[in-house]
Amino acid sequence: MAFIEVRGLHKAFGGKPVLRGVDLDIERGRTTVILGQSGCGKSVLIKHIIGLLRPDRGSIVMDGVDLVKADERRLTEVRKRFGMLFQFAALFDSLTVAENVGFALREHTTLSDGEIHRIVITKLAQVGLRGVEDRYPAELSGGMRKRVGLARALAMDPDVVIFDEPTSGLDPVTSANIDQLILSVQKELGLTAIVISHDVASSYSIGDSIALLHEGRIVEVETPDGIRSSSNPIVRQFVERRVEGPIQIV
Amino acid sequence: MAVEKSWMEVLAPEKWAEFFGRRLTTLGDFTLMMARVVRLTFRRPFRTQLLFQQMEFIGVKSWFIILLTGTFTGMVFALQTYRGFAKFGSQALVGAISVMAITRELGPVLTSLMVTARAGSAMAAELGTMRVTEQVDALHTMAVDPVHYLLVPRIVAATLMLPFLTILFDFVGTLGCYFVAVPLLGVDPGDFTGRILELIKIGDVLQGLFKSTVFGFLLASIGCYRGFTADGGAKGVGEATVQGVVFACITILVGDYFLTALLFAA
Repeated sequence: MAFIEVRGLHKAFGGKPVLRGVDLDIERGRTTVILGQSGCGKSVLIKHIIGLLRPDRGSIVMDGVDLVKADERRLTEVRKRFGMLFQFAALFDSLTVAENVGFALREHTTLSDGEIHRIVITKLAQVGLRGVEDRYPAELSGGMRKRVGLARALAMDPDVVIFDEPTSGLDPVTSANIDQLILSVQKELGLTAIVISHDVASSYSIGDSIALLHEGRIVEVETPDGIRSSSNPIVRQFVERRVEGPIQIV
Repeated sequence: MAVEKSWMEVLAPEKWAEFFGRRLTTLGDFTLMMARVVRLTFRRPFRTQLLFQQMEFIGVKSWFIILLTGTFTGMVFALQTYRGFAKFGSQALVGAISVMAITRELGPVLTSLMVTARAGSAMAAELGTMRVTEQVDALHTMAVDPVHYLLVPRIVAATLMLPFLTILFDFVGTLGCYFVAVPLLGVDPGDFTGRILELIKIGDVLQGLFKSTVFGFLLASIGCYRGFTADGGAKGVGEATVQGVVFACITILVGDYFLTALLFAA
């Protein structure tokens, strides 16, 4: 049984279907990349997994708990097992880096300020940052913001970390650096990682398995090698960056 | 022909139904969220640090603007009432009538409008920015209720601070009125203060403070709600801010009539 099982997930907004029966297994301790064109519903799918949205139909079972049927209190407990790195980091502007990283610890634990500070320093070091604790997010570069966002996502030692477009808006070198960071953190901590992306090169380098979401359904789940050699025309068009094919430009 | 068609479109029953339907939905959504704010106000953890920060921002940092508004309102009211009352030889009533208007109406209403412009707009813009940059979602994913963390301290702080700002307005408004009426216009100081003590009751002041408490809740909840439900990037935040301020001002002015009628009836 997979760590997270998504079955027959449907969601529509204002009568417009976005998810049309998503089936997906997320394996424990592995990195699953959800690949798909912009606007295909990747973020909507992730928001369902983390309990921010309720589906119209379908189920999401994590470690035996049905997240769709769970009440808000149960969902709050489940969310503590997740960490999320947002596309643009979503750091709190009014808080310093240290306050951002230590935010969840302050909210959910009874640790002293000293202990929280020690964990913050450790988490920042884990993502390769030192001496930035007192800076505000506006004083950081895009790459540094993502690193701080990752340190914040790791602060509570989560079971699952979700990466929403981790390399979007970054230059190729910084992107490769972030990929390396995701790989090393995932291996070192044995995390279950879910990565949303439309960056094929990045997906090959960090994914244990890659799922392609198209028109609200998962059309293929394969290893990076399996995706490379896939004969599925949707997969082929996506990885070969062709305009002609079954994928219509939205 | 085109004009006729456009009027037909405007008057079409389904357009009106859609228009009112959307507004009713928003009103229902707002009411539910405020019911949640009230419920969460008494739920742990009590975020006293955030509450004090907001009380400082909404209350303490608004003192100067209220000081200016109150002083000049009192001064101009003295000028206007003096001109009117001089026609009947009742200049001695300038102080009492001005203070009655200030404590019952001008104090709570103008204080609330000024705080809406300064703090209500800031609340809508800040929460709107947090919404469109996914900071609100980040709170959710960290298992923190954004309504409890963001809305409750702001709304409680505004509700608590508005009466204090209104007291400041009432005080400086009365002083402004005095300095125009007595030294400049020659009203007898004994008449000025004597008539105030004779005609102004503590109930007049309390009525104004009650109104300002209600307006504090309304301006903060409308500003917070519009910011919290903003979408569509920078443009959406701008629209949310404008709508938050406009709706809050209109609600204060319309609500003032109904509150006054209610208080008179009581």
